[in-house]
Amino acid sequence: MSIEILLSAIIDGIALGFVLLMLSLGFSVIFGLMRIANFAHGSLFTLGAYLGFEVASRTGNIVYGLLAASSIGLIGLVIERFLLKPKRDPMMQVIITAGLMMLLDRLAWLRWGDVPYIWIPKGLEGVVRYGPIIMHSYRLFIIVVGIFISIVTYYLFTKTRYGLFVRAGIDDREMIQVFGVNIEKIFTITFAIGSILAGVAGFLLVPWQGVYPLIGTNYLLYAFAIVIIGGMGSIEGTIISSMLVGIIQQLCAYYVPYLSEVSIGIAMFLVLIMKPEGLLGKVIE
Amino acid sequence: MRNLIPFIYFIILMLLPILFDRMGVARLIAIFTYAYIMSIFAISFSLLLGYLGLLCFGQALFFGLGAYVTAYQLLWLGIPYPLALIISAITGSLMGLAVAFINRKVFRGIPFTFITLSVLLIFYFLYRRRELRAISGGEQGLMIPLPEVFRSEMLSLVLILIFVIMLIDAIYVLKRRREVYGDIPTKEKKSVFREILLLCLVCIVYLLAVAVLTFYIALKPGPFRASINMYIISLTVLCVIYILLRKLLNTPLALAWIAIRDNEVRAKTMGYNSFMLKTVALVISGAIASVAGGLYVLYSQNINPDSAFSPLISIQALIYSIIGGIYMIEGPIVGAILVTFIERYLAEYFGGWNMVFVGVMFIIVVFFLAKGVSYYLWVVQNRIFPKLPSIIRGKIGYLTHFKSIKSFGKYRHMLHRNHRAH
Repeated sequence: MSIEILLSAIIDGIALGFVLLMLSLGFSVIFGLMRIANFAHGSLFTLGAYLGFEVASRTGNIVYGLLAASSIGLIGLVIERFLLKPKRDPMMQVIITAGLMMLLDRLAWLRWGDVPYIWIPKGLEGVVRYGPIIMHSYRLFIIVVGIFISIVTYYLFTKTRYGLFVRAGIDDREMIQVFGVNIEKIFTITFAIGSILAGVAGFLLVPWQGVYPLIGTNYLLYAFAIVIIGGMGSIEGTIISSMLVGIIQQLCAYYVPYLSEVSIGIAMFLVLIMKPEGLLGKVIE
Repeated sequence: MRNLIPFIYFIILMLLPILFDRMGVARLIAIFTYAYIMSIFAISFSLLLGYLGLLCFGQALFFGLGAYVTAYQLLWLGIPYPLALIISAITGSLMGLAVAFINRKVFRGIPFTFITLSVLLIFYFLYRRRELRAISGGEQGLMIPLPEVFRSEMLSLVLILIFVIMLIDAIYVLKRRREVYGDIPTKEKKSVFREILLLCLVCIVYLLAVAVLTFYIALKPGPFRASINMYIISLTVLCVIYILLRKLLNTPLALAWIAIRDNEVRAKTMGYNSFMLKTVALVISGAIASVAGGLYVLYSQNINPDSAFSPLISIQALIYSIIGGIYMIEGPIVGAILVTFIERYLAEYFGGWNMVFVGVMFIIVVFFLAKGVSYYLWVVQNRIFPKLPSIIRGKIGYLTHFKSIKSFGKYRHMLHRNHRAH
């Protein structure tokens, strides 16, 4: 119960929070903008993890792994153009992505099997000691990469012209079409960016938790919890709640292991009962 | 005649195990049992999706709850199985009420999907913990011994029960039709007489079929007897639920549901209490899904958190419903039998690729056959037997549910007539 354990738990929680942020930010923005509850997001996470693992374990370089994982964006692009674009009906799209989730998970299982794979980059295996605090160096690396990617993404969504369209689209989709924005293009780009984020998040988790076919579905459940807690389609809400979920999960894992998942469930339940639209969200029709 | 159709199908499906046994593919009996249980579950799912437009991803919640409640009653309380099934159905409907209460602010569209899913996740996370092994059974799951009744007289009891239910149903419909068409001369009256004859014929065939089945079971003790009991019981429950639901979907209640699905604001303006109507649907659907869970417990004799509360179970129901077609109550049954056959029976020929095949089929159905496989089967049936009595072809009443209530168009009168005839 010492302060060192508390600190390392919090650091682990922040690292997990960044991974969850990358996963759920794409999910949340896709949901807010396009009204797609993208069930295939978890499968893109898994595929990113596997692709990154294959490339990184062959070349031994984590940068190549990250690049390979971000090529999931192409898969996202194909899914958006050929499977989601023809049917712009929210219910239909949920159905399609749920079918895709089953299909992609199954394909991953056929290729890689049930055995979890793990690969740790050279130089990041050990721990870093700062006085009495012990930190895993790979989790620090996740935090660094996570901060970098989050800043880039946040900049993209808040400061650029594209981000302006996205936020305006979340607010009122018809209105920005009236102003002459090609919303289909924005949709496709957003879906691809969300897929890239999911793939990279999946790869970042490989050295920590390994990769197995159902990992995406498991983490998609966390992403659901985050989106429910933070509010659907709210970028700030997603950031806050994914940090919250990561830290709560790791704190519970350190101190009261049997509550680590249930605590998230309870948080979700309380939010649902008291504020069904989420902490920072608004009611989406 | 129309009401005799499930009866005829029931007789055919009842005798199917004998065929399987003769052909030496006895494991198909277990596969079909599973298909019937899953089609009960898929019916409960597509009731919400097809008639209310509510995509309930938390449907596995009711399934798992029914399964666990049944298991507890059998293991710890020693309650007889039929009673346990009814109690678990009541539990499921209470859970449906609770879910409706949680959803009171956003009872539509994607938010509903998310919220039901998250309620399911709470249960899933809770039951998956190792500390709760005593009540969840952990990874091995709870083992449920087969109740004693399943090995003896259960079968004949169940068969007589379904017989009585079907008879009452058929006679009731005949009586109603007499009332409706009483003042119409000649043609319809003749058809009533013909239907009574048909009813007697089907009854005789049914009794013969029961005799054949009983004789066959008496000849073949051993594993066949255990599997056929479960087969007949799940088939019976499926049939009873099918008949009851078909009655329900011919009432004005179902029309009000469709009105809400198509245009909620308009339905509200017309004075329908949409919250109450949706709650009723959720309660019914929860009860049906719980019954499916209770049957599943006895089918697999084992229940663990991953086979009860996993969100993948809901997705399974979604796949069955979409492939079969959500707008006909026959759809989920066709879908469940088809997909289960591919998933379980063809697995040994294709390795793991059979599920990929199912996934591709799913996408194709979504894009090109939006009405589902069952609709096309129905069309084919009408092509092959174009001279079936119009009262069968009058089943178009169900199909009008495809279109929105605004475009009932040319089938509107048929729907009305069906209503009165039923």
